[in-house]
Amino acid sequence: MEVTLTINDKKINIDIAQDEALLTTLRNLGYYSVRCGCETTNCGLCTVWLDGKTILSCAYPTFRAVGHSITTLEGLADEAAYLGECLASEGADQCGYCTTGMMMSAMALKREKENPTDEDIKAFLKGNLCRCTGYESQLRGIRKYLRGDEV
Amino acid sequence: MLTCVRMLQPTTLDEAYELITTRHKTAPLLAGGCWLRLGKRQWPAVIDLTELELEYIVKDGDEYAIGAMTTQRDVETYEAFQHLGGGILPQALSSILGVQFRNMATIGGSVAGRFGFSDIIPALLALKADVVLYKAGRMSLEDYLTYDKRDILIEIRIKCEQPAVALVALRKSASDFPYLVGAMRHDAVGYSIYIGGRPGVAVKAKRASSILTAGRENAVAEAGEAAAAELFFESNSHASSSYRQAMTKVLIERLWYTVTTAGDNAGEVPAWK
Repeated sequence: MEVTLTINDKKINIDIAQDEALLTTLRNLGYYSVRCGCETTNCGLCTVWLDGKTILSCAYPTFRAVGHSITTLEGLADEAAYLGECLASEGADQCGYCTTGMMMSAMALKREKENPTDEDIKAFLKGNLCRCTGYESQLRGIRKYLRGDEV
Repeated sequence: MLTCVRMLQPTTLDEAYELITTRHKTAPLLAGGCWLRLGKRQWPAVIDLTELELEYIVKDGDEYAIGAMTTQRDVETYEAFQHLGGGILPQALSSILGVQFRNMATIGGSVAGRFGFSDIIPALLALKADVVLYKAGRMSLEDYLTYDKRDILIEIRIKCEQPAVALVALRKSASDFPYLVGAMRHDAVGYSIYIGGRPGVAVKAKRASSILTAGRENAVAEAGEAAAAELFFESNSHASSSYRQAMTKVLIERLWYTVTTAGDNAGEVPAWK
């Protein structure tokens, strides 16, 4: 089926399978920040925004995204670069595979909640799994990003 | 993965009902789609419900009506639900995986799925929720859980005023499915105890509820024993049937303590029954 998607404010016409997951569509289009992990809605690697809310693109049928605004990390480049620096400055990247999904969640949290506490950060990022860092360094990096510290 | 040959998108409830009762009697209904995709089956057809305009939360008289396609996250963050029944709905929902998942999963999908591991079903039972179906109309959630006719869940209705209720889930690790989940309600009629994750869907522990309502000495311990005896438990990867049975007694003690110290009684230590 042919659909028009709005990805990072650009309209794109594309032919998709009826049961295609948004993750597959986005990666086929070259949005490689969107990563494939568990494909069972557990790990958070494939997190993107739909109308500003985080969703798991591995479980979201592409046809449902028609008429909505999809945002990937590529569409938040400047802010993502700053958040990346905050994380790097705290040693929060090891293999780095989970980082893009975690960044999408952290940037959504900033928009959804003013001055979030550590508990708010942990609750909001519960759906982003990391098997390297133990989360403490990421928590420090995200705190820096939310405060707007210089890095 | 969710795989299907045809994805059908009815735009009216009439059309959707006609599809599920005539041409596509076995086609699954796609709500959030979070659970359906975990199976390996390729479906000849899947019926998507997004176009039916069932995404809303409204106050209607002395009730809240929650559209079946409302996301779990929208229910979790709805201002009025933060205090309704001591915040039992946000409590039940916030333990379900991550925010991204709850931005997709719907309240109707959780209820219509009748999942045994559901945190939300016992919570809604404790709130004495009703459901509204397209064809069968309104019925209690308790009745709906055993209702076996094919129908479309339109909305869930909850009274705005609630007595003391409590929800306790036992799980092996945070964000995992609970291996046992219970809810309790204490109103003018007495106590009602609902236990799920046995691993079957939540049901009322009738004898245990009566014992607690009668309120004799050692009523809490007796209610725990009664629930462990009257309910059916099975083993799976999360817990054995005997472990679930043993923990049911603990669950009921915790539920009773939580209900007794809820609302105006917060902070008070109740005399142990």
